[in-house]
Amino acid sequence: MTAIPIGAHLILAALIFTVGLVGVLIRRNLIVLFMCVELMLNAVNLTLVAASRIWGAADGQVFTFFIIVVAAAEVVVGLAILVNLFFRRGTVDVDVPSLLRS
Amino acid sequence: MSDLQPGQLAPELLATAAALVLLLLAVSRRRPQLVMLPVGLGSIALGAWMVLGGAVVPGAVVGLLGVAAPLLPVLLPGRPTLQQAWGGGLALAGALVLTGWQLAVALGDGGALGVTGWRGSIAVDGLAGFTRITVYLSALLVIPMGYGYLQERRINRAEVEPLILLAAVGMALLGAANDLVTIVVALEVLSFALYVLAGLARRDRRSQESSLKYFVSGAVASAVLLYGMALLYLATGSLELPAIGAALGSVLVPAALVAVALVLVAVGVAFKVALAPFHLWAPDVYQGAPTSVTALMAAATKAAAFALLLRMALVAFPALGDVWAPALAVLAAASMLYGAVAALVQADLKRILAYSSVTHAGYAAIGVVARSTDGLGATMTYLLTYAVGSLAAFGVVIAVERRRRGEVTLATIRGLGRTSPLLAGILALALLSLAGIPLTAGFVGKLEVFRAGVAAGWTWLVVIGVLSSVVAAGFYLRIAGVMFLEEAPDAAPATGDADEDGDDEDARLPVLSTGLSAATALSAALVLVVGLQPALLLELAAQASVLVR
Repeated sequence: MTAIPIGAHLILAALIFTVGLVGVLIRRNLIVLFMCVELMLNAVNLTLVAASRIWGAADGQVFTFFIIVVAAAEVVVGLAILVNLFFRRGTVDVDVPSLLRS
Repeated sequence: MSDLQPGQLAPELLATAAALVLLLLAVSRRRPQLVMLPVGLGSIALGAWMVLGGAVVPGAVVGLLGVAAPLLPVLLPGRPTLQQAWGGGLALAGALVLTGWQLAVALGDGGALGVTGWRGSIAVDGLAGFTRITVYLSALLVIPMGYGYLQERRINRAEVEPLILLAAVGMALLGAANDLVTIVVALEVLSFALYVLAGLARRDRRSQESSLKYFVSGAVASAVLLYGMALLYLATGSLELPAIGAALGSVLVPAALVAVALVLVAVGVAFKVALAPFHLWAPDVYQGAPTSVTALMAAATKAAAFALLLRMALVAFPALGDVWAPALAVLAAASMLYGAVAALVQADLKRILAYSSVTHAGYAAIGVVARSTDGLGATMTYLLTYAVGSLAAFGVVIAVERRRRGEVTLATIRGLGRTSPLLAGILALALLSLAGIPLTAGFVGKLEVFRAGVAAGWTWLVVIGVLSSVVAAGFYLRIAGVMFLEEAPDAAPATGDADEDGDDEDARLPVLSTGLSAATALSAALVLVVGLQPALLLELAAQASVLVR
């Protein structure tokens, strides 16, 4: 059984990041939007771990732990905002008519 | 562990500790001394130990705050929000003193400015010191400015001051961060605190919308920035900015990878500083957030985000300067022109100030594009002058909004020059400063930035800057005209009852409280002092134009 080449991880990460970015741009449901941001962050993690392996150093993997913590905190804040919004409006669609405009 | 010197992060450590203490104080609402007495005694002991160890100034600051902690509940019994506000304010004042101490020690030694600490994670240089001054000063002014206003809107909950403190810590740390991990942590600390602060008025749909838009755009921008950083690490094998800069200078790095990383990092940072095509979140977020939070975002976040931009551009990417400088120049030009033109057609005052913040991001970016020591000093000066000017403007907006209980539009402030000349005068002064009229702080900053731009050969960019200033002066003067030249709307309708006349007469006057007046007056005074006596600030900026590379 041969090992998976390291470049494959990077290409997979790039694909995941693209999926996340496209999802953020085209989906309007807030929960799906959060999931897409998480996809982007996990693509970052995968890239860092692969790069860390390439360079034979651990610092990229340490960076990954920080990003995981940051992502967890981000979800906490984001879901709080979302729940508050849902109580007031009854929808989690970002396209609901906006009060803030020129 | 000898290179982990707490002194290099003294203001941040102090402010973080204060935020935790204030949270504990909020939890122990009925028995504050349960928290404050041990904290106070511990701080006094720590301060005494530090003074004996030779660190007199930080020891004294810690000791004095330790004395103040148990006194707060005694002096302000039964007013928990006021205790929180005083606690936060004192901690920020202490952080400001510690920053001054750091700068004095570093400049006094002659050349100790410009070292790294905490194993390369922290830069002890002029940019870090200057960002700290701007951030802590803005946060210190924002707390009294917002106290009465938040109280009246019934959103002055216990988490306000700890969140402001944490946001300030994140911003100051962003100014000092010297490796990618520290940058990310600092950036997210400040962003999360601001997401929550923007949505502070939980029942107000505009505040909710502001918070949501800020969160979504900020999270996506962070993710893009992070991916750029990951690719940068992949290309160079280092997380420290100076090492990345050195690696990018060699020919061995894969050019395509670096190009993608540069684009992603640039887009992420441009989002954070709100440069023109990436500014779309700013007007909505500024308008919907509680006004004191908007003031913090405009004054302090701008400075912190620009510190990130400066450090990324000048430390990590100096080798690619010929690539990013023209691109950043185009973004700066677009920001200056678009912000000025878009502000002309707005009616809401907070929105006008938001678009004006986009133009100011453009001006400040001229100093980055210049890629020189003068440019660095000019951008730092510009950010400080913009901070005091915008704080004074938002202070007046808060005063007007407190009476109206709603949006502040051009119609709202019509005739303000007749009803309350002093406030109108302060707003006019702040707007003149933002427009860059001589004898105000804004002129000093703008002149420095333009001078650095011309010296570096970016004459076309400076010409666009001057043009945009002329357009921008148009909408600043329009506000002044509305205040001073137009009649105030009749407070009492012709058919109104006689006994309601008194109330209506009152309703035209803005509401002031001690904190708001003091903070607004102080910002306005700073605008004047810096405008009339720029030598001190310019000298400091010249001395502090040191970057760790």
